Amino acid sequence: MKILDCNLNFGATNNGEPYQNCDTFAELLEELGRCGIGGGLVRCGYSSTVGVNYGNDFVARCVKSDEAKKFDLYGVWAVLPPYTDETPKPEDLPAAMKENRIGAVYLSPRTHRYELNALTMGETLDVLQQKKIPVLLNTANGIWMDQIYRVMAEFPGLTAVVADQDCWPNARRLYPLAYHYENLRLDLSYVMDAGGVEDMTARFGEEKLVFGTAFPYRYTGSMLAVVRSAAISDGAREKIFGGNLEKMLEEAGLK
Amino acid sequence: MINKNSELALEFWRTGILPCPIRDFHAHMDEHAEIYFPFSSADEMVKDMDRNGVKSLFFCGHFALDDPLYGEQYNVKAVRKYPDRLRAYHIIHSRCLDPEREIREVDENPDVYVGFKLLGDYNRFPVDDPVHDPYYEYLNETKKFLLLHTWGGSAWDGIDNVESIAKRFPEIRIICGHSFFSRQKEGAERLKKYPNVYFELTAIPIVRGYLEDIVNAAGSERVLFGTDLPWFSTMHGVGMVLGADIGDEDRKNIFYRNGDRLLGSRG
Repeated sequence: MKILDCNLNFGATNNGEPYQNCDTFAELLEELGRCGIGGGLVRCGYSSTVGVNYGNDFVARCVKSDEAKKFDLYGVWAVLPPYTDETPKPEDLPAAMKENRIGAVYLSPRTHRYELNALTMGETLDVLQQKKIPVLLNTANGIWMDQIYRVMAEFPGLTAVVADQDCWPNARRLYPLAYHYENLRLDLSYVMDAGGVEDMTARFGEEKLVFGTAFPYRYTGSMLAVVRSAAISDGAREKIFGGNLEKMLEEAGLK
Repeated sequence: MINKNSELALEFWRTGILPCPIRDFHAHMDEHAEIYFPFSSADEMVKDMDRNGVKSLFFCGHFALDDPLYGEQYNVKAVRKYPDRLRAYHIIHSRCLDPEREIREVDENPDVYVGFKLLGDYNRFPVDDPVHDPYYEYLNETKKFLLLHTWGGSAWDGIDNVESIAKRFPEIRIICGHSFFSRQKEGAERLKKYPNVYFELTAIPIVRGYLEDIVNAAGSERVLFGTDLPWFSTMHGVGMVLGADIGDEDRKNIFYRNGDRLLGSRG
């Protein structure tokens, strides 16, 4: 069974803590090998902590490197409003992503200090929506849940992958989104609820769910064990573990 | 496969079932105002235990936690329905104490209760305050369990508070729920000298590296498995233990050996 993880991260954090660290891409690959994850989407934290292009370029170099070749890894880029000309123009973005083995973008209006709305990001979001490019909306990465609700209301066709980092289960916040938006998927990284995967599969169908671990912040084993043992069909399990993300990348022309 | 270096993890991955039993020392039951649970009744929880190989589960239901007047009866009802699988902690509401009655309820119902549970942070009341002494004297005398919600930096149930109880009542089996989350290393280092203090794993899975801290500081013989069921999936905790940088003997200690030993020592 192929396992792809939609929420992988690396990059030195400079926080002085011995926890939740994966400073280098080599460490990330070692962890993937140790726990049997075949690839997925990887974000370089430098795009939030150092510079957007510094991090975007860094991850592109890593996923295209020789050592990454035994994994099915795609990078994740941060995108900014086009008015400051810092990231590729909206119309150039899909080709640039394809060329650099980038499988998704993430929006981080809090960290990158911009207003997330149609005025600032409309052109970019139009392209992302039209091209079905996966857009990661993760409250761990500089976006509030109310911003996710607003951007989905304005761009309801987005191929969004939503994650809500918390230490409590959050079905009351996540389920309305999953019910309402056809192309929206839920990243399971923080879905540690007892019976959560089974409940979501029964309600929305397994096509809405994408496996994620939030490595290195959380233990990769946790969500691997939850999905491995979930009381769902093997077919559903395969889609959640990798099939759904693979299909998203294919539909976006990025695979 | 979760962890290519663990036979236990490899066997779990092959079958989807953990090849050893689990004893869960920290759970709840029934609905909670702030959270949607896909399941939470005693019937559903026991069914989940069966599916995941959980041999026994110690809990304090949400109704007891939050309703000092009528909540405790639901704990009794659940245990009486599943006497081979469930045991309850009787809640202590620090601002609404009735030690004579509550100790009597625990003492007269050994088939239901294994001890008391106390949440200092939620009550905003220090767990080592002498108002609790009648309960602790009883637990010390009977060698029963005291499950404490413990959190790093808390003025109500932090390391100092628990150490004060452990010093004065050395026979109580103190279970530090959440293992002083965020100060887990310091908690384990300071309290390991008290042989009846144990560290429990609920909430620990959300920070990669915390479990290794506890095992390295206190030894896996002092770690008990817990889930907060129905809040968190049993397998979420199992996956952390299987994937963490510890050995299979440590994993077995955590999943069931320590629990077996503790329950055996109580008779």
